[in-house]
This record gives sequence, structure tokens and C-alpha cells, in this order.
Amino acid sequence: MIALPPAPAPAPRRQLLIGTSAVGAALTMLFGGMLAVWWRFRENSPLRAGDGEKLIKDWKPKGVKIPMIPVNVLLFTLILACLMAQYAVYAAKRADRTNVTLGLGLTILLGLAGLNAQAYIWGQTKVGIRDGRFETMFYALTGSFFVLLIVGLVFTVVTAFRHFGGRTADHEVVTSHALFWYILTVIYIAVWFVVYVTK
Amino acid sequence: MLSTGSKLFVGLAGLTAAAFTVYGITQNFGALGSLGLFFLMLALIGLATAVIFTRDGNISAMDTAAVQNAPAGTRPAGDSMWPFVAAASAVLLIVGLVTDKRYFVAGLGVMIVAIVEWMVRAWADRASADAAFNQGIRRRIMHPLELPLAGLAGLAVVIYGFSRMMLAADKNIGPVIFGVGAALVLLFGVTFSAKSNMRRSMVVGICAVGGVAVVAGGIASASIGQRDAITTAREEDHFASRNLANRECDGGESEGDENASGAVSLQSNTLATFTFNGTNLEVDQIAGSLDGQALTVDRGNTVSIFFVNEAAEHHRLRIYAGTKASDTKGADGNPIVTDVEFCTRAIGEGKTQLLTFTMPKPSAADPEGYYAEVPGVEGARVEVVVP
Repeated sequence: MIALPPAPAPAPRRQLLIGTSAVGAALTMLFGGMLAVWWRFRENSPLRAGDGEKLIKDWKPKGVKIPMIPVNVLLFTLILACLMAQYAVYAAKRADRTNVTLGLGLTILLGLAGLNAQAYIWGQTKVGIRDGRFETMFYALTGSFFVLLIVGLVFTVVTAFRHFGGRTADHEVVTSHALFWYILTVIYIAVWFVVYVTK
Repeated sequence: MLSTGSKLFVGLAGLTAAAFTVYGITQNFGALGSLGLFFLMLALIGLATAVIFTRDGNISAMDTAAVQNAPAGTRPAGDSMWPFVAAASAVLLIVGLVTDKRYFVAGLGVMIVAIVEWMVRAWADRASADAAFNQGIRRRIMHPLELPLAGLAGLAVVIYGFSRMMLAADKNIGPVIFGVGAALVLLFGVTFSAKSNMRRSMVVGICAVGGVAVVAGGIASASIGQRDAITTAREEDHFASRNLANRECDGGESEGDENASGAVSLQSNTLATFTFNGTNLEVDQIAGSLDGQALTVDRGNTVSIFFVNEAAEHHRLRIYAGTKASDTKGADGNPIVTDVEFCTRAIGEGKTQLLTFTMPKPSAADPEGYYAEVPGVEGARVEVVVP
């Protein structure tokens, strides 16, 4: 009897996409943990008399004013960056280099605008990192997100280089890039809600 | 149909959702546990979605094109040091953030280099199936950038190292080191040029030994520090620098005056020359309209002047520029008011000093008016006008 050799093991595909997803899961847990600590800090803070006769949780130092306009601008900037990253995926699938350039270029521009908005928020909030627990946690959360934004920008530059370096058939890098910006935006929405909105 | 991997993540996500609900209800949605479980659920849903989207990354073994095109089916990328360099620079960046900004800047620079090198290397490795061709492409892209920058960095290290050696060495030994170093460079340069068949490894070896010698000498010299004469001269401000904070402007002489330099570079760009002949102080303002009568200085402009002492004794020039209130308060509770003044070192006969200063306010702001004088000599005074 002739036995046929076994079929070769199927080669794994989409490693970059799976890798980006795994990084996304890790980042989600990282920020989830940080936000949980933040929330617990708020819950455990003592009560004090607020405006009128209401008792409020005394967790945010008096005089700390968070400018909501740049905070919301940053949110919409990131949503737009996601749209542009997805636009690059759409164009890449159609081998449309001009529009891939446009999509990735605008993603870089919006990412830089995001960095600028975060720096502006710090400048306007005017708190020192060593001023207290609130300030330290505030900078830990927003600073970590700032680093993530820089990583996102580097990812965009690498994606652009690979695409314009002739790897136009490699759509996976453009798709993974878009996924990373979605992850960034979801993380910022969580930070936006917990840190900035429910203050 | 759900694939095997996706079933795992969907199941885990469902389990976490159930845990989140039960924990939330029983623990009144306590912050730490609820948020932790919620984000775990989010992460698992994300992973489940990715796995469903990629169908576990599986392809049919019969699909020849897919098997050949899959990343795992291609030749693995070669060894590269750049991921390690990038990781090390990230550590340097973080250390610099909390210690010294120079480390931070260095980390940032190294990280940018590492990312660019890594990016180009990864791209070139997949350019073709021929490793030599891929290497050629990488060189063609990176060498126009790498070689000038590496040369620049090497030059900076050599210059800095050599400068540390010259600053540490005794002033009599410095010229010897300089001469011997230059002679060695000339000697080896001539040898390399004359013996064109010299082995490449020997040339590289000699250059490497020279480079290491300069770097090692620089590090050793930097650890010893600059020679005492330079340190003392800086502390006592023999060079008549703009650091006038601790300079005494009265008629007496201090330790710093004894060794003050009495010569000024001919290239110094000055506004005027003050000359003291023992009794009178005269000013010659270059292109000035008030020759010999007064010095006119624009407010806010940084200007330099010469002071020439023709008297037999040591003298200095002092410029009075009004008063200012300090941050500290006196016994009466009012801020202590001090003079704004600039002065040269006291210099001997025939010597010259350069004084650089900036007038902060118009002279009309002070009832006494601004002036330049030789302290301790009655009548040796010239008006200073700041419009």
C-alpha cells in the first residue's frame, strides 16, 4: 500500500494584523488598569462641602481647570485620523498611490495635531507632575497616551515608507496601521470619558 | 462558521462578560474589579474579532499561491542590531526624562536613527530572494546618509576628546602633544599615500588605534579636569566675561584683578574706547556724534567698549546704569535697592580691557543720570546717554 505523505502545515497569514490586535489587547488592559486605579482614587477620596450645601468628593485639587475645548478637539482629531487611515486602506486595495499618500499624509498631520492638542491641554491645566496624587495620575494617564500617539505616528511613517518603497501589494501593513489608530481612538475615548468628562 | 481560535476568544469574552455582570451586581460595580473586567472583555472581543476576520490565519494546503505568498513561507529576515538599539534608546529616553535632559536628547537621537535603519533594513530584506542584491539596495539608500553622519560623529568625538586633553595638559606640554599628534597624522597619511598596496585591515587598524587613543585620552583628561590655571581664571574672571555678578566695582583691587588679562583681541567689535590718563577719562565713540563728551548707547542692545589705562596705577572703569529693586526686603519691609553697574577688572599701565553690557532702561529714568567713571578718581567721569 502506498501511503501519501501528510500535507504541509498551513502557513500562518496576517501576522502583522494579529500582532497589532495583540498589542491592542495589551494596551486596552494597560489603560483599563490605569483608569480603574484612577476611579478607585476618586471613590476613596474624602467628602468636602462644595458649592451650596452639597457634599462632594474631594479628589480634584481646587484651581485645577481642565480646558474642554482642546480635549474635545483631540477626540475629533483622532476620529478624523481613523477615517484617513481607513481611507488609505481603501485606496491601497485599489492600488491608488495618490490617495494612499493623501490618506497617510493626513493621518500624520492629524497625529501631529493630536500631540499639539495634548501639549496644549497640559499647558492650560497648569499643574505640576509632583503636586499631588491627582496630578501624578493625570500625567501618568495622559503621558502614556501621548507616547502612544508618537508610536502611532512612527507606525504611519513606516507604513508610508513600505508602501511607497514598492510594497503596494502588501495591504496588511496599511490595514494593521488603520487598526492601530482605531485602538488609539478607543483608548482615548475611555480616557476622555473617565478623566475629562466625569470630573 | 466560527474557527477554532475564534471559538476560544469568543468563549473567553462571553465568560468575562458574565463575570463582569456577576461581579458588578454582587460588588455594586466596585471601581477596580468592574473596570478591570470590562477592559478585559473589550480586549478579548478585539482579539476574537481579529481572529474571526483572519479565519485563524489558516489557508488551504492546496492553495499553492497563498502558501508561497504567506509571510511564513518567505525567507526570514536577517539578524539586525537595530531592534536592540531602539530598545536601549527607549531606556535611555526614560532615564533621561527623570535625570538629565542630555540623556533624553541622546536617547531621542539614537531612537530616530534606529527606527530609520530598522525600517530600511526590514524593507530591503524583502526586496528580492537574493541577499546580496538586498544588501546593495540598502547600501544605495542609506550610505549617502550614513557615511557623512558617521564621519561627522567621528570628527566630533575626536575634536571633543582632543580638546579635553589640551585643557587638562600643562600649558608647556600642550604644544608638544599638539605637535606630536600632528606629526603622527602626517606620518601615517604619507605612509598610506605612498604605499598604495598596504593591506586594508592594517589601515583600519592604525586608524582605530588612533581613534581609541584620542577617545581614551579624552575620557582620562575629562576625569582629571581642566588644569588649575584655567579653573582659577574662570573663577576669578580673568577673561573679562559677561558674568559680572560677583565683580566688585569699587576703587579697590581684588584677587581676580591681579591676574586679569590686559590684552584684547583685535577682532573685538566695540562701540567706543575709554581712555584714562591719570586725571581725566575720555571717550571716543566710533561714529558717535558726541565725541569726548558722552557715550550714547541704544537701550536693549548688547554693546562692547574698550577701557585703556594710561595711568601708572591700577584702575578700572565702572558704568552706572541706575538702580533696581531686589526680591529681598530690608529691615524696613521695603525691597532692597541696588545699583545696576558694569565694570572692568582693574588693570595696569598700558593695558586694555573689554567690557560687554546691555543698558536695561533709558537714562532719563534715573534722576542722577547714567555715567562711566574711574572709581576713586575725582572728576574722571563721562556721561552715558541711553535714549
